[in-house]
Amino acid sequence: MAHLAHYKEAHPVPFVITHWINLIAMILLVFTGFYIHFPFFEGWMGVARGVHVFCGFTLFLNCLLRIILAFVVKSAAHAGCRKVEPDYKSFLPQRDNRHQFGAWIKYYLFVKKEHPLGAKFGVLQKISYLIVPLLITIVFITGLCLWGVTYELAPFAALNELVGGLMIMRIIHYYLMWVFILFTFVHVYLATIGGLGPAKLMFLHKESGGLVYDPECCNIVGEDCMDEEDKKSKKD
Amino acid sequence: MTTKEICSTSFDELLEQRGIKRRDFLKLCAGIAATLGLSQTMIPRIAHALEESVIGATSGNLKPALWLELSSCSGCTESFAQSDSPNIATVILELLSLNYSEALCAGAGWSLELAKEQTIDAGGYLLIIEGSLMEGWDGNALVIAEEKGTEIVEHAASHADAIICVGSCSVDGGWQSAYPNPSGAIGIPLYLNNAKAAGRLDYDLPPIVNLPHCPANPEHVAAVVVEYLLLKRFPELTNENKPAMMFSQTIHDNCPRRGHFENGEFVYEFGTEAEVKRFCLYPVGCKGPETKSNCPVVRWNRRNGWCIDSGAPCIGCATTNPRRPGFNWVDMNAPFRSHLRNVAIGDFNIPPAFIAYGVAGALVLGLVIHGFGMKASGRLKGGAPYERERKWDTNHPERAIGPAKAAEKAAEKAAAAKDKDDAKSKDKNKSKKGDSSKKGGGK
Repeated sequence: MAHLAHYKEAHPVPFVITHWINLIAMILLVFTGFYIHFPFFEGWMGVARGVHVFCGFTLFLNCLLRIILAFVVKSAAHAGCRKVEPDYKSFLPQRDNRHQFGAWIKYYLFVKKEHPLGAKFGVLQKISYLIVPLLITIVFITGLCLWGVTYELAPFAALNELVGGLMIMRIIHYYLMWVFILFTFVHVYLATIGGLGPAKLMFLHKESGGLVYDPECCNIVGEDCMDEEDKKSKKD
Repeated sequence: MTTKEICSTSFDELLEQRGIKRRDFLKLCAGIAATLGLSQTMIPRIAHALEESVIGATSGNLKPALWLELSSCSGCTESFAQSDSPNIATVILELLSLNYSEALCAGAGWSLELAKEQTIDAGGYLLIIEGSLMEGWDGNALVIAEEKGTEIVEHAASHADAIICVGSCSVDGGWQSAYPNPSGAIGIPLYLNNAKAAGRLDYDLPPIVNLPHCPANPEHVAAVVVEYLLLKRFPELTNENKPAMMFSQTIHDNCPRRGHFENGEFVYEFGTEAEVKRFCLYPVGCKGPETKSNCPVVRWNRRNGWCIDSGAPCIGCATTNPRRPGFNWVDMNAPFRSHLRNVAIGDFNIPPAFIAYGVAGALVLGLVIHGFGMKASGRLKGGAPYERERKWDTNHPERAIGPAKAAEKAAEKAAAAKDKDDAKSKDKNKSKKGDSSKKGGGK
């Protein structure tokens, strides 16, 4: 086994919930968004717009909640480790993965053979996870610009004028949706290509075994084979 | 020289001469009141203002107006000339003393140009401009009566009381200024502001009112002109100098087919049952949702109908961007049957969806290839092995993470752990959790 253990501490229950909300809201937003862009079957425009607006607010508020929780809830900032710290630290530069930007890119491009030794999130992962709330905010604002067109609330009217009109704003909103879709492709690929352990933890809050990491010495110190032990105990 | 000699002192006689009854005149005033959104009690005031304007005219003070036709198709003139009976166009234009209009004036050539010159010299006129200016080829793209269009406008604006830009071309360039715009077409407000900023104009710019649409709606033109005669001011304007009461709600807001939109009843193809049922035209590229105008309320052709009523999706001809060249209604809304405009990359115009699906396809392909790479490199079976030490630490031992002491300690610890690790990997069945650290151990 060459991946780190996925412990519950890495992903506490509140984040299981916010991740579920993100997933459902985004699926509904993308689906209704495509429908509003071009109603590919009849009869649901009113519903689609209602769901789209509702899920848009849900996604943004959930994003705000997630940011607040990052400062309130404690989680393990290192994979394969049960030591918890305030969650936001997982997203900031950590001692464990300084100077690893190049290493990660090399690893993904198969130039580097060995998996970089790092914290819970890789460098690229941290950067992309930090960009996501920013993207959610921007897509939310562009959505609002397209929503209250006649109401002409000053900031949104100003933004519409800044980009050059409603048509341009629509195209921006459309492409931002695609950024989320592409992000999801990569996100799902990277999360599942090495096994279903991370997905089980994310969605079901179930642990799976693996290597054990000690943040004090910043290195792998052993292995926790809880799966195999479970199987063994069942056999016995 | 004026084009129309006014030979009567009585307003009623004047109307009679033109075959208009007093009753028809009051109907016109009621129509204007309705267009302006005024109450019925204002009708006498409107009638009074029009009468006063004409009676003043008998002593030579009729509000003069110039109708400049620059690079245009005369569609706005035509539209205005087809205006409602009892001949709003005629009455308004005669009340205004239209001293120059290539399409409408009886005179032509040198004498008409002279009339224009005299009106400009006298000052205090209303300048109505139809069509865009062309700056191309040093302004020679548009030459009228041996004078460059740019010079005509700079000169004509010099003594004008106000400028009314009629039609989308004069507002922001219209068709001519759409990509690739070889003639350098430009809207009047932007041209004049640029000229002023460049210091070419030695006068303050008069107020400008923009009345977009292709062609301009005659009801809009009549309403603005009459409000100007009546109250000596223009209606409240938006930040793009369009009358707010006409151009601050989207066509979608007031569309008679809006119910079908919300119900999800659409026309996907022309010539279908859905079209007969007058369903929503959104899937065939209707630009109503982002076009601000009161078309559904004012309507066209003497209020008989308008684009969407006659089964054509809105193409967004009231979209304006007077301050930003290259963003006018044609640029923004073509192709007219498509929901989004094309994205211009250099000289290529590409539908946004095409780019999006292309990028997504490339990404999926990349991920599939990467997946095969993962398989080929053996990373799928339990993943790639972890590096024993961070590459950067190996290269920079003196700056390895943590204080030097901790790093040393860690190295010792790691070496010990790795030995156990190796031993274990040789003997997998004997795996046990006891050798993990205090922190990593428990379940």
